[in-house]
Amino acid sequence: MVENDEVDRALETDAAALRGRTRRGLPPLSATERMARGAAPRPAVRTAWRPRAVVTVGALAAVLLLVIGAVASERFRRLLIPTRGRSAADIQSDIRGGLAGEGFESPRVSVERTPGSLSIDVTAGDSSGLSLETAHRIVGGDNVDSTFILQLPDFRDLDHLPLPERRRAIERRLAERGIRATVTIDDGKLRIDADERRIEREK
Amino acid sequence: VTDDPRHDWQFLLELLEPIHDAARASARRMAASCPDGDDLFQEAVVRALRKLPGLRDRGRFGAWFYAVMLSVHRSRARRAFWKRLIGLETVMDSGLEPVAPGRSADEETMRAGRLTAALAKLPAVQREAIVLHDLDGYPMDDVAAMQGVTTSAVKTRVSRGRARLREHYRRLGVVGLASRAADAADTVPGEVMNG
Repeated sequence: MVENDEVDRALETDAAALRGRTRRGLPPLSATERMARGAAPRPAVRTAWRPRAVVTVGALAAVLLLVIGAVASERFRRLLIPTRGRSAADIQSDIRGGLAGEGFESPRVSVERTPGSLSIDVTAGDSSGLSLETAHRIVGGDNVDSTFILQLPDFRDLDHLPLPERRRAIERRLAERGIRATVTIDDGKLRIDADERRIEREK
Repeated sequence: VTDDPRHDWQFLLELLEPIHDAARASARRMAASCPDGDDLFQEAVVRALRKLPGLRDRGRFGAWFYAVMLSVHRSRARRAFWKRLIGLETVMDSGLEPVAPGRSADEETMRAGRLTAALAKLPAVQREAIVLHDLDGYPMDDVAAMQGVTTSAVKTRVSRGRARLREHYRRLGVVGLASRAADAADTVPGEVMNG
């Protein structure tokens, strides 16, 4: 009961404060009249984008983006491997682990870092007998100290096409991925030159 | 009520004059802040003008206008939840005159904000009953006419609203601080919150 009395006293004092606060500064009837006559309508207080609402919407958007990002990265099966400031051994270990996670057994990976360039060679073989042999060769340029994006699988599904058609199909697919590339047939091999990137694939 | 809108405004303002300040203060107490309460009041005035032809007895204008205002209040209470996420601290101080000499503006802000936040947690009909009866001092019968329900329904709303407010204050840990503060603040005697 003592507790109830104290709560009631707090409510009373707060009620007195609220009364006083809401009684002072009341706009006069003339202000209502001006509004009523449309001479000076008081702009409505727009409360929709107060900070808390922005934070709530922002948090929801961030979660949504994370989900979409996770789904998209899985869908495109890309290995995102940071290279900035990392040693060749670390990068090599990451690529090998990533390939193993994608189901490639015993991938051969070689990484060389020299001042101003980063060279990565990857050969991933499939023990199930599929004719998979993919080699990515990244040389210098934009890839130095950036994120190396290894895109898998490569062009396995195009193996049945005759060489000229396969060349055009590979060009088209690279273009879809935002890589401007030139594909040439060179000494029985497909050679793909994409800016500073050179991707060779055995015929 | 005439066919000329300008005459309707004049008629409405004449009726509104005696209750203007009390109704505007009530609107502020029901709303989340004073500016929000002023918006509620003005929206009620605009709606009252539209409904003015339905006013049968000008002697009962007060209860009729309050009924319109409570209807607007409930409409606003139902609007999208994120429109109600208003930082009280950002709007409590705007548009107000300084407090009377001898009183602490900070303490009044804290106390008024605390009760406003507690009232905001009540269902709209309970908040209206508490504000009109406990804070504004209207008799239960008048509140019943404003809310369009029976007197016993108002009693129930007031009783439940008070119980919720007490529970909210207990959770805030107000007990123990109240006795010290009661000496410092000028309380208004009467039936406020004692029912």
